[in-house]
Amino acid sequence: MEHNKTTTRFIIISFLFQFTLQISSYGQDSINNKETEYTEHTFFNTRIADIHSIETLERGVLDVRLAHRMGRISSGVSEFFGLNQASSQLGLEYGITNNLMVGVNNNTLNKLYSGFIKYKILKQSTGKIVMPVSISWLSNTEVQTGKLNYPNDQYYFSSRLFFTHQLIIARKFSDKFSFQISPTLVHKNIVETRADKNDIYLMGLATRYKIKRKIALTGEYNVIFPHQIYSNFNGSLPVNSLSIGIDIYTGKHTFQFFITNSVAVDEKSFLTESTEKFFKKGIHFGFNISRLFNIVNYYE
Amino acid sequence: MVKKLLVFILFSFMFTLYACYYDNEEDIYAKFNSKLNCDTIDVSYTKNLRYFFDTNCASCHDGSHPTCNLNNYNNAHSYATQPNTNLYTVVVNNDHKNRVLTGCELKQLKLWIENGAQ
Repeated sequence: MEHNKTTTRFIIISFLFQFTLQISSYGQDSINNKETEYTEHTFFNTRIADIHSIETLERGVLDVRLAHRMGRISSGVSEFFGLNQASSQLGLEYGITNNLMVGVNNNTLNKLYSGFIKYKILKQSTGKIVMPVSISWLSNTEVQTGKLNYPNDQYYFSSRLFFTHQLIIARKFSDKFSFQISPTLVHKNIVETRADKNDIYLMGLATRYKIKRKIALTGEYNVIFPHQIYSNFNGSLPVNSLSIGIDIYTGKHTFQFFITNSVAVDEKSFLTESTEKFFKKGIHFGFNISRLFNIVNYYE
Repeated sequence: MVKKLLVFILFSFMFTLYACYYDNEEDIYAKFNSKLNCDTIDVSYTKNLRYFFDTNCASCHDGSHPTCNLNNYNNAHSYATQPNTNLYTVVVNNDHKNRVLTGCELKQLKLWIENGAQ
């Protein structure tokens, strides 16, 4: 009993001590009239390789994107190491404000069209306002316009819709090293069996390490939590998607080259339908090219 | 202009929230697709459920289990026909060894028990 009292007192005192310290540090800040410095360029681009990064486009900037995922590198000379096959994505993305961006994309695989909205909720900062992480929210809707498996067109339109929501949390630890986690929810309006979950939860992990001022190594890994998917895609169960690559940033262009085990470019497919095993010859070459145009400034 | 666009986007986002469904092909498309059809006429151990018991149950309930053996027809029949048998409840609640079964398997198992586990 006495022990409990001592512990409680210790906790209260330490809490008060910390609180006083914080007050005094705020006081010092206001005396020094410290400005808030927001962290920029946690990542070079709005994508890491497959998944979205914390970054949003600036106001009035249009991003024209082209992404390709090739066939298996192990497919050999006859398939030019996978380069003879490709699934691609064309995209137009635009920054409405400095924190809000929207985009539309077209994917060749499954003939998917997607639209998304991404909002930067918090920015990592030092100085007057100290914020250890940046946080963004992404909501993505996909419509499958390709043929469904049900004959005579007897299907519901809702069966063509897929949604992805992502809370993206990132921190730029140093000028070189950034790390990001993104808890993700993929909702499929239709799944194959009753056992399969319509809501699939994942955790995305991504990182960047700058090796030169405008060149960085990137990596991402998306973990599907167990007991959610029981149906096969292309003959085997989906696995976690993994990508390792390099970013080359030139100011207006970003070139991203990587190896990955996902064939699709759209969110729900690479997150929940990647079946290739990275360490069992399931490696594919992929690239993203992003070109920025300053629309608003150009006409002003 | 920016404000109008923002309002439009927010409304579009709200619309997508109403577009959420929790469907599966077994329930809503089986009638259109013979691949998804489930045989529920005269369900029997030999015709429909032998594979189910062999792949999901027999490895543990292999004859050494004193109260519940499911490794052959006689054992499965005697367990399924016990008064107040919990065979279906355990399977359908999906809390037993994390075995997840298809809707068709569950439907067949239920019918089989109800019709005397023949």
